[in-house]
Amino acid sequence: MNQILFAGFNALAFGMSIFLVAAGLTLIFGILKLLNMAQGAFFMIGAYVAFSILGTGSSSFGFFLLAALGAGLIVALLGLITDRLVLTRLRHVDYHYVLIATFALMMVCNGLVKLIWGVEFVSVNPPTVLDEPVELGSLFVSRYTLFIIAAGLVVYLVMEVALHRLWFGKLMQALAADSWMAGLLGLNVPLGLALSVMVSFFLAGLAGGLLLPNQSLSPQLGDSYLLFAFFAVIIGGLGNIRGAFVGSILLGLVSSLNTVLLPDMPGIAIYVALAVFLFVRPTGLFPSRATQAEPASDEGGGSLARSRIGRGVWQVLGLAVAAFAASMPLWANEGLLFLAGSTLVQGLFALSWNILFGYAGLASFGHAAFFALGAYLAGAVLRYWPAVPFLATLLGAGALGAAVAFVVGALALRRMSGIFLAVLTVALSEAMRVLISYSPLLGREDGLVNIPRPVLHLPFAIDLTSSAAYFWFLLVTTAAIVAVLWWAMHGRYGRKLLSVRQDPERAAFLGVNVTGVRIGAFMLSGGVAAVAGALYAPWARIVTLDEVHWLASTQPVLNAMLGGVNSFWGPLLGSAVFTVINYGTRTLIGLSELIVGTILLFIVLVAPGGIVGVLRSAEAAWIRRRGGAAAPAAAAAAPGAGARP
Amino acid sequence: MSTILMSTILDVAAVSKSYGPLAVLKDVSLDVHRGEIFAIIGPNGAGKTTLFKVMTGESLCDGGRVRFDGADVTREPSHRRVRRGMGRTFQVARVFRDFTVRDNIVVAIEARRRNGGERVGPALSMAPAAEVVGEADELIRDIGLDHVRHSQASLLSHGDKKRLEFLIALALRPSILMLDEPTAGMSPSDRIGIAKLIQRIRDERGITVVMTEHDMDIVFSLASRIMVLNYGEVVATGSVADIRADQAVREVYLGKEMYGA
Repeated sequence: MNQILFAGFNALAFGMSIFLVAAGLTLIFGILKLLNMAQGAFFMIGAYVAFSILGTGSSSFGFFLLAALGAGLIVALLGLITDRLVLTRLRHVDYHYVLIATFALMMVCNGLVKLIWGVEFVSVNPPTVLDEPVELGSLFVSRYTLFIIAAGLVVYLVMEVALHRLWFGKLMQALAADSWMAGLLGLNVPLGLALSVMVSFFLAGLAGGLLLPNQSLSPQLGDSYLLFAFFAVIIGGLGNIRGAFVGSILLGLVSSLNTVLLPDMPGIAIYVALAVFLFVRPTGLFPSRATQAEPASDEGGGSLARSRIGRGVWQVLGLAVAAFAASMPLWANEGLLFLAGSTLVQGLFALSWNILFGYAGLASFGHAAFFALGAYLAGAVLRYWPAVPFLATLLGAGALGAAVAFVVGALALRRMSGIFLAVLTVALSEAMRVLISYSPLLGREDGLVNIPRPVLHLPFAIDLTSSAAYFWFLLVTTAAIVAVLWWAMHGRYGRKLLSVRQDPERAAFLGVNVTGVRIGAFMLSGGVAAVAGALYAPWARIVTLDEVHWLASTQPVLNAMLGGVNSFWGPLLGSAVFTVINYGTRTLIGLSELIVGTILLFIVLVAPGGIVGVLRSAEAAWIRRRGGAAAPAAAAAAPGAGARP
Repeated sequence: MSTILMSTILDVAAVSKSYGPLAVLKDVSLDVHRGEIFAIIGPNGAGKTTLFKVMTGESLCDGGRVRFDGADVTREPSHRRVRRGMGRTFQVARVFRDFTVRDNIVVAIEARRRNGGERVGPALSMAPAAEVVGEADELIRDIGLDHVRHSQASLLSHGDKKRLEFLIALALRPSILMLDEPTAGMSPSDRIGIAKLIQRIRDERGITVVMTEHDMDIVFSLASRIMVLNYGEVVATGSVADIRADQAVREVYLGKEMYGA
């Protein structure tokens, strides 16, 4: 009996701490229709700010509350700045770009936190009054836990009343329903939106301050809370405060049951619960209209106009690059060669991501899960079952990636909105990370080391154990996969994908099964990502949990965006350019998140077409300047459907 | 009686649909005969769009049945109904904006062939098959969009975009064409053009047409039969003359001012 009570109590405490984060998340989604991937990062900043105010010693209850409020206010100000600098510029952009921008923002925040507060773990005691246990009947519980539950309830009640009873809530609801109409009614829309954003961020900061003594403080703090808050919000129904509240409590219960029933695998039940829930009730407990609206046409989509530089020029250029790469083992040192090989793999990985984004119009934010799937599979097979032919392993990795993508896609893509896919892919990579860290076969936290390189047993044996040989193998395999993908994306399959991306409803009225096509594209993308991972394992000869970290999932997004998502070759170009940037800034170690995040943010805001996009505009401008009266006719004569240079 | 049943292509029986407490469709029934132009009219908020979506599969009804071409399609998603021969245009013309006019038709023809289990083209070729392109060009010529064949669809004029949308629908060789306010937001001359086009599609290709429309001149000049919807209920169904003479229709829909009479 006591155990059940205690479990229930813990469930409530955990649920309330999730809700404190989820509240701001759902509020900002309800009003701006914006899923803020950076909410967890701002929560973390709130915690650090409160820590800076409090110090490590014990403090009085009043001072603790003041610190939490102060953290809330400071984060609200940061939120206002963020809104001015970033969010306002993205109000009318395809929501995928907004997701990417807030993702980049999260990296920038994480980088800044590391820069300002360092990477050490710090722990903070609760204020003295809350630091003692209290007897509740036959149960001993900590006062601080009681305080968290009370705080969650208070925040919930205040929000319920404010949103549904007070003028401020009515203003916010009007803005959420139709900000254009609200403007016509004489409401100050920019002010209202700014206030709403500030309230959402205030909640994040406040939660950070209040939950500070709950766990030790580290730059990873934001990740876990963000993920659970996402789940709560999705279970409850996006944009609904009551939903977030109920969803949080449900998650708390699931997690608590997990601890009781499966003590060896903490944290796994939540992922299962989310999957089951999405399957049974994809709209959430309290579905709101906000989750159903999706802009039909892809405003951010680029033109598919073919470059006027002739195909011959590109072919020569491509051959030159290939010849240069192929000659590298002959003259480059080991380090440079490793970099080049990794770039190839990253390029393939980024290409797989962009098949999903650039061609099918869906974004995955946990694509590292597929990469890691392939990498761990290849690593394990090469280490434990060396007799398995390597080419079979590669194929197996592709099939496994596609199979996992099928399951995730079938869960997430039944609804038209890609937001579910975004969240579910993040969840997938987290779940993978948790699972791998429990598996002794996969080396738990240490990863797989000393992975041997394979020998190919074709009719004749090809020894790939040397770096040079394996590099050539990488080059040939990558080129072959890229060639097949190029063919598929420029043929009728690519045309079908592009038609679904441009207007899914229109495509459905061609008799195209949009959900099926999307799941198929996700499978292709996941499969290729897994093959990239499988190619990588024997190249790096080590696979660790870093491969599943969300930072690894950012890499293909960044590379593709950098090169240009509206071009087949963009992701490959982006990977090469990023390697150069990374190499150039290698002395600034620890700043990588900040640099990557800033570049990504910059691209989304300034040049969403990436390098290829910039080059194309430059080319167009150049043609115009040369008196391009003949240009439209020439462009019109370009053959082929959906042609991309 | 039996002859009428034989010629029914789309049969909506006692369909109801609510959004929360609001009943948008109450016990709506209609049957569309093969080869006719069937118009659904009614004031704003009458439930025309909802009824339309229930017929095309974009929304599913709460109660009642939808039969299309002899099959019960009540719970079928749109793409299945399309494969059975249902075409559709949207109130605001929707085309694949980044494709050229020809590629818009090409993807439609390729989709039709794929759906019908036909060979789409040579297995390894990237460019669309010659016969697909040929068919696309013939359609484009037929409807008079030759001059913009290679233009990007997003750059077309309003009227041309609408014509392209019709072309995409026709490329699927539908047996029925569902037109949601085909002349909405158009200039008078464009309206006449579209009306002629609808007439031609019915006359030359024998395609059944179901349309919602606000422009009464167009409805009265094109429709074989008209159904009047008000507050989610059928007020009357009948020929143009019946509807013009119907007292109930005049009161709820046309008001005191007798349209065209």
